[in-house]
Amino acid sequence: MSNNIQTVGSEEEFKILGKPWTYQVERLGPILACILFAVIVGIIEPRFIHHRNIINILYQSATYMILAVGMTFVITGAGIDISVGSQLALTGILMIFAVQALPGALAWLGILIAPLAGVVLGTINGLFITKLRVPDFIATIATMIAFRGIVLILAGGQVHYRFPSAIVFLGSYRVFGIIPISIFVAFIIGAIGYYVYKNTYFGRYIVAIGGNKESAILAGINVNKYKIMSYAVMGFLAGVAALITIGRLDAFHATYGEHMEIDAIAAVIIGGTSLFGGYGRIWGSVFGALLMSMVVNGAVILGFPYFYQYVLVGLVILIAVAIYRFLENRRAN
Amino acid sequence: MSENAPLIEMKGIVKRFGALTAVDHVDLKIESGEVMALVGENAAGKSTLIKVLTGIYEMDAGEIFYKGKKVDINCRDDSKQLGIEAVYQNLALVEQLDVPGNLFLGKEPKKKIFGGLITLIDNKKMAEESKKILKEKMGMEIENFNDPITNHSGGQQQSIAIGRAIASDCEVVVMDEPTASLGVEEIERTFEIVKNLQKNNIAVIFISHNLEHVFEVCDSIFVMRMGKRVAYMSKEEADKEEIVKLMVGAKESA
Repeated sequence: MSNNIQTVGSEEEFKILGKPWTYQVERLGPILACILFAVIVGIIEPRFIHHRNIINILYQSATYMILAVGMTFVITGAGIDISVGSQLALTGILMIFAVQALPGALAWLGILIAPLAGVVLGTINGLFITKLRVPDFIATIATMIAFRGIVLILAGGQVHYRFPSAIVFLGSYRVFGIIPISIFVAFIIGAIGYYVYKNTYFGRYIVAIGGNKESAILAGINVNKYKIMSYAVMGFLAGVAALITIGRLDAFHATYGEHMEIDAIAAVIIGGTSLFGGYGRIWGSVFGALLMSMVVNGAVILGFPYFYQYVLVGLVILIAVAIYRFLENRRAN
Repeated sequence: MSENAPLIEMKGIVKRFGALTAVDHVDLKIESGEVMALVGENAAGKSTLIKVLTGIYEMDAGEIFYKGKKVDINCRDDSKQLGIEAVYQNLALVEQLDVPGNLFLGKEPKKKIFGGLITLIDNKKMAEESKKILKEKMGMEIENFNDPITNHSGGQQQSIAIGRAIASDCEVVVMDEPTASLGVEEIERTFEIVKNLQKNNIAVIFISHNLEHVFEVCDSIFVMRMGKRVAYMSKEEADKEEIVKLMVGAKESA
């Protein structure tokens, strides 16, 4: 009898590099999907994989990659931040005012206002959620609206443009005249994010809180502190995203950043992070963001009408989640 | 501190919840290396008594002595300081973390970099220490050490929860229904761990409904009924039928 019980489920799975293939596909899924998509679309339309187009895709997705890294921490802690688009706009307009107000070289310090203001906005979200016990979703919907209102008050209805080089540099400067510096910024943030997730108390405790809050409390973890920190990190990165995005466009409007929260959350989901918390994939989110930009760009290059792009991105999300569920079930058996 | 004092002595413990007296003037003594079963029906006051000992509940009356010295246990940290650890019924693990992550949750070893500017978790040291704890204190090895523990069996998770309790140098481990949700082999495994703790001179308070299990591992049996201590006896003097009668109140004893 007992022998039978032990053999159930130990049926040999096909292994890649010492781990079951389901594990490897889940781990490398987002990057494999990017490569697969590039190959298929590249065969149909070689312009898609021309280096200029690849750089262009990376350039556009840098904003979403940075937001998705922050969102991964929030979601891993079983939270969600609906206000990131508004945070991006609010930190952006504050930075624009600061840079324009500061004389000469001091203007370069002004760009720090964006991430610092982001930390403040994120902390506000965190305090509402932990101290006033407003559910994450509701608190950040409220601040999404409120922050946007402040942006509208500050920026008015007109387009702001032609910014000092302090703002434009990180968004527009190209290394060797080809590769935009913001791509490096995005990947460096991905690398730091991954390291923080694996090696810091913050990363570990966010996993514990999202995985099992009761257990985290019994282990003596200060749940509120780390929860607030996750929103502050999200805010900080929303500020960095504002900096490189506004610098790239060299323009700003009060509606800028609307719906970006949905794109960031979608990138995180495509990347394989669990929406229930406790399981985050930083690099998955980075490549999830890249895949979304690739789909949009590929649709344009293949000549799909604009509106169809939404349908395609929606399908990508559904397919990604269906694959993760399939792999999960297979492993559970 | 007297030489012959018991490791822990609880005297005249009372805990009320409103009009209900959950624990009513209970005395309990446990020695180092003793495995004591705490038995009784639901709502007999077992868990409440234990939560007083671990500092989760504050008692309304009574005294607690540690090696003969009176101590105040007002919160969980106080009891941890005295080396009292608990394994909760729901295990209090984080399924997404790996074995070392769970063993050291909340007390991960530190590592400083950049001249102390940044503090990180020392994952390497944690993995080494984890292997040592499992091997030396519990006599076991776990495969797939770095997989999330959701991939491990219920029995292994139980072992990890116990390992976590004894990861720090503790003297008493309280286990709340440790065998309730386990299979036969896993229960055997838990008994072995308990015996191993005993060898290391760690006292164990083992709350259980299951008298078979109680007789398998315990040195002594402490019976509670309706908040009161109704019996305390060594395993040798105990008899299953008698204990059942004591638990349900068909017989009174000293």
